[in-house]
Amino acid sequence: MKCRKVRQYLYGYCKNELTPAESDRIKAHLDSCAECAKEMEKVAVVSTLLKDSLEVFVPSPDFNEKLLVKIRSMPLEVEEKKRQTWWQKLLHETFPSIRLRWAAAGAVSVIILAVVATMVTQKRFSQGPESIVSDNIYTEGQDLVSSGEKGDSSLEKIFEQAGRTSTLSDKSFVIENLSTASLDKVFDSTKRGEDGRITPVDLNRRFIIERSPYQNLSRGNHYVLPVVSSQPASKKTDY
Amino acid sequence: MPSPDSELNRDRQVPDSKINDSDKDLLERVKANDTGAFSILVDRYKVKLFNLIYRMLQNREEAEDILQETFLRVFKERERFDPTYSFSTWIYTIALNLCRNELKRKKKFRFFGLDLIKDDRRYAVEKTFGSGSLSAVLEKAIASLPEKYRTAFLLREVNQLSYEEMSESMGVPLGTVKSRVNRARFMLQGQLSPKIKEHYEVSKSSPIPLWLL
Repeated sequence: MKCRKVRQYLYGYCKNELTPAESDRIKAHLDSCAECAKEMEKVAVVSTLLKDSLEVFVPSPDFNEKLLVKIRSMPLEVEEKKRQTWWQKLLHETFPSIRLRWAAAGAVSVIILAVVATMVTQKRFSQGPESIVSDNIYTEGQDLVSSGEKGDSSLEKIFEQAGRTSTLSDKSFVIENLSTASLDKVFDSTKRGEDGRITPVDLNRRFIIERSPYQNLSRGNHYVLPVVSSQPASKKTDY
Repeated sequence: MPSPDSELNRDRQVPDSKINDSDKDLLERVKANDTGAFSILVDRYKVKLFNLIYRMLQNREEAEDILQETFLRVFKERERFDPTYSFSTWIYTIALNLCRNELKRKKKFRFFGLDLIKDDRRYAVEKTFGSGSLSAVLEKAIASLPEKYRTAFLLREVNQLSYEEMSESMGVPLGTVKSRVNRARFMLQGQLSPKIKEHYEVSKSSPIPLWLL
């Protein structure tokens, strides 16, 4: 057995942690090697020191008392913790380290920023810088149609667009976000009632406009225009 | 006249806890909310655990907090204890995990420029022993060991766990545990040898022959 190997076992030998066979081999080596024997005595000194000089620390005298106070107040605490932990647990299991959680938070905020930015820019583009009547017309099941180029705030225009698509739902279509101001432009304002309500208007004997029950929805004013005549919209040229 | 505790336990038909009962028997009674049994368990382990935790954290108040948290965990999780394992291994596992988390937390503070650990180490040791004594030298040397070696060394030398128990509570293979303990001993020897020599040269009445050192 080589000295280097033997020295690795000296503490084990000193502390009786070796198997009898290992112990015998170390002992045999130490008997024949003065260097290792000297090393062994150093180990023995440090061993004794480790055993004898380690102080025993004692927790403060009121430790048990404080602990029992906590224990007695515990059931409530446990319940509270349970109420909290389901999402915390999920968070901690998905992102075990604090760095990952920061990274995730960063990613989420970037996504939110991107979405908000897209929404803002899209709205600006869809409104168009030159439009006077910025109202949008929705027809049922149709994409957003922007109406009102400069000087073209006529009902005709609106109806033209609506008329093209009104065949999809032959009963009615919806004009959304139509402000009262632009409504005044396209409808005779004298047809309005005193309460600002638009009374049924007979327009070219084709359409009747009514206030929709959806008016109070957050989208703004909705107007439902039921088709009372089945004449095709394209024939309303005399309007 | 019966004491309040026995009054409390009478309904549950749990016999009074005895100092000599095994850990597992006591824990069974703790499961039936016997605080007397819990107190016996606390008394049985608090000093052992405190000596481990204090040396890991190097701060008395923090060590007491972690010690308290260890016992609170034991109480909270008492139903989940698997009696096929040893109670001692279980409680050491809890304590070590709490220590590890606490050290990690402190490391984060250090990352932010608040170097609490070094100060703690120095003050803890010197407050207790004064800077010159052999015990102080030894405690300083232990405090300077890297965490995993310190854990291994303390569990073996202070808590006198078997290597098998250590392997289980540290969650580390047996061979690794043995080699860590051995490494730690040699690291300490390297630090201590010159200091021991110094120490005995100063106090002439040395019980240890100087040529050894």
